[in-house]
Amino acid sequence: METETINASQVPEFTGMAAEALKHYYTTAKVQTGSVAEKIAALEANLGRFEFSAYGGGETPDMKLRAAERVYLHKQKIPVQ
Amino acid sequence: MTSPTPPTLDFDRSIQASENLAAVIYNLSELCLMAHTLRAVEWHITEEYNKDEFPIILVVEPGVLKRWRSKSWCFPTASFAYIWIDDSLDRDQKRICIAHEAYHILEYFKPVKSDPVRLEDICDQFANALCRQHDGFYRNPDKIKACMFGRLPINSKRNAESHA
Repeated sequence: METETINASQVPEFTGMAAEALKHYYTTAKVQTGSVAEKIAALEANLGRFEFSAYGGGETPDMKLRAAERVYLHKQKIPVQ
Repeated sequence: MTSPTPPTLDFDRSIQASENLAAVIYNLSELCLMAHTLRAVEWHITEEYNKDEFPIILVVEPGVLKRWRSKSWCFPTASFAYIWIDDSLDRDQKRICIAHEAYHILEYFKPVKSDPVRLEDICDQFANALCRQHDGFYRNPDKIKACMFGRLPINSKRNAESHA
């Protein structure tokens, strides 16, 4: 099992309507309380296999998850504050 | 059930509307950063990897630096790619970031990968080389002159004396 170091303060979660939409998606995919890796896999079922690169490197699993969430929200036309 | 006929404008109002929309589209086009580069990357990927299409969507918005601690990031998949850029960057920084992320997208498809340990340096190399060529273009009076429209206004009517 993947070991993850999650520091929520470093990668802020989405809030409001965006959070609700993600909660709904994760609940439908049965990963609402799942790990970062499980949530990434659930989003890949929608977006396809993806890669994530941040300028300057230093990518972490939670950054990758947040990017996948952002893309999902954009495709669903859900506003992010 | 047939669709209702859409309302139409008379000729004068149609002309005014087209001029208004030309201004809107032109103003938007000035915000389309590195548009030729992104189109060229799309073209290259569709040709080299036998795809019907490969859209690259560029999103410029606030909060990228705050949330991901990066000026930009990219998200390639087999069928599309996204590039996210922080809104607070200046124009040059935005353009360089786009060029940098474009190489990550190209890298996604390359059958022989770049040195993964120094990939960020390699993307910087590509961005610098590409932007240097862009800069050369803008400093070349002949290239700029070639971009000017030599014959305006155009007239699309067949058998018109002056036409593009």
